[in-house]
Amino acid sequence: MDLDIFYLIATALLSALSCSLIGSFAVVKGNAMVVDVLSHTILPGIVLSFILTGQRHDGALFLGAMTASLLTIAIIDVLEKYTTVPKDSVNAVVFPTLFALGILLAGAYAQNTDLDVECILFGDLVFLPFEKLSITESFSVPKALPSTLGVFGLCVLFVLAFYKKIVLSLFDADFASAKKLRPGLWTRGVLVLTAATCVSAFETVGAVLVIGMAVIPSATAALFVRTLSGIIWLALAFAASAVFVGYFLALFFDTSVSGMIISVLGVLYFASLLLCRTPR
Amino acid sequence: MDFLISVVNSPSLLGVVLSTVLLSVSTGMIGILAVLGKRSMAADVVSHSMLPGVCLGFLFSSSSDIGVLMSGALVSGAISLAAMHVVLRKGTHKPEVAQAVVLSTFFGFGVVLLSPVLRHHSGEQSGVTHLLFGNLAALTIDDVSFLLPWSIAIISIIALFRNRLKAYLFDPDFYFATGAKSWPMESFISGLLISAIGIGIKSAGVVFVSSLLVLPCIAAMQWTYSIRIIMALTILFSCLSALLGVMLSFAYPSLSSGATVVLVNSLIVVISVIFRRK
Repeated sequence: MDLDIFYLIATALLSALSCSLIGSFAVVKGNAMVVDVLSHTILPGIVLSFILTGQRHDGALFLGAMTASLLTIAIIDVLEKYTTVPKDSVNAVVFPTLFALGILLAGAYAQNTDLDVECILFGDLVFLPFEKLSITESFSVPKALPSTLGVFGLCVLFVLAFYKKIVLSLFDADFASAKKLRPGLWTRGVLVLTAATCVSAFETVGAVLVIGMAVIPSATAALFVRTLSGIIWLALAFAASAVFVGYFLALFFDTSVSGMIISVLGVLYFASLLLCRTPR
Repeated sequence: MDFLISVVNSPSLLGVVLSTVLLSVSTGMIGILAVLGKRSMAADVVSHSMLPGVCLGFLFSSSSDIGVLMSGALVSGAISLAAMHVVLRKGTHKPEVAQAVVLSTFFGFGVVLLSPVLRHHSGEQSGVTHLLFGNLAALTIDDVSFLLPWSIAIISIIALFRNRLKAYLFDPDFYFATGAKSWPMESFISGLLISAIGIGIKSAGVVFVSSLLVLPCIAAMQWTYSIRIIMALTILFSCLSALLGVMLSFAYPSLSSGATVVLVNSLIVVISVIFRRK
């Protein structure tokens, strides 16, 4: 049982770290709601993979969700570039449409499967230890741990390897293209990683709470420091401490772990906002 | 045609159709204010932020009385809008970051409260989940008696104040130059937004209520710049999507009516975006 608690905290920690690492870019760039959109629009992908494979197959699930989020990114791109839909309304158009499509598909074709829409939205860490992946006969880890670790590694590698290119593309696209850097490629790379983080985190923290993990730590950090690297390091620290505090508070009050982690982060944010003098 | 005949013959279906149309029209009208005031996603924030209020209302009163739950929802929706205001004023964030922070904080707190609600001994917690995920088919002819005066009031209020609203939304500098203050207008728009979402959430659910607000107006804006025509088209599109959406879910009962109404709305947006004349 002790090992289970260790795995639970490890998975939560890895999700929180990769979310806040990638979320920092969204916060500093100002397109934070795209995380909300992506975490809702994976639903039709998940439902479709259910319908096509006829069962709960983790690989297909991941593939379906990933396809749906890439499609979302493409649709947002097209709407922003080629139409007159106001920029701040594009998100509000895309996510209910795809979400409604997911609900309809689930209602029409997947009624008899064990797909639970509410479970996708509210997914909880507590259920983690029940689904295990055996590595050897005596040793098994929760299914979600390897995928979360993989996505975390991917995020860290991507950011470390291309940090300068990403920063330049995000904040000075003209200069980046003058340097032949293809800014569109790198900004979309960040979006794709954001999507991957959402997909890996929806089962553990729940789709709607992913946005909290991605946005609140870096928004809090942005109240204290002004440099991107400072924001990232501080956000990682906030996220990690919120996971521990949130876990034990949730245990104490016997309630949802991921909800409690987000609540701790929220309290931290509003306390910082009201008590601190923000650098401008 | 079959649909029309069965609507006229069955009062319960007539209730669903009429109240869906009225709900859709009144939220669509308020949506114009949301979209033009650059608050499209704020509607989504408010609807998610109603979760903790609903849960607290249930936990304190131990009943799923709709009045209690709804007032909880309205209060926490109002607090979330106020919080968004504070974040934007004090923080240095872009608007989307403020929205994301408020949405996730409130919803996270709501999820924390949801566990004791689901464990509650009274066994009445289904009222809470019903309120959040909504069901248009649950609307009855009784709802019409509330929704009809409500929609008429909304349409006439917006038509009455359209000059002030136009000035405030399109030319705030001019609006302030006339000596008017920002807070009455801001709280007027916020009040309308919160009440529309509160009413919509019960029948359409958390995710879909914001699309009832935003989509008809976005579609209407593809065709014209004139605010008067935008209002007329918004009413038309809202009616159309509600009617077609309910018809679809009537023809295929396994489809949830909230989702079909949203998808018809989205279809209208897609058609408008492709064939826009502007």
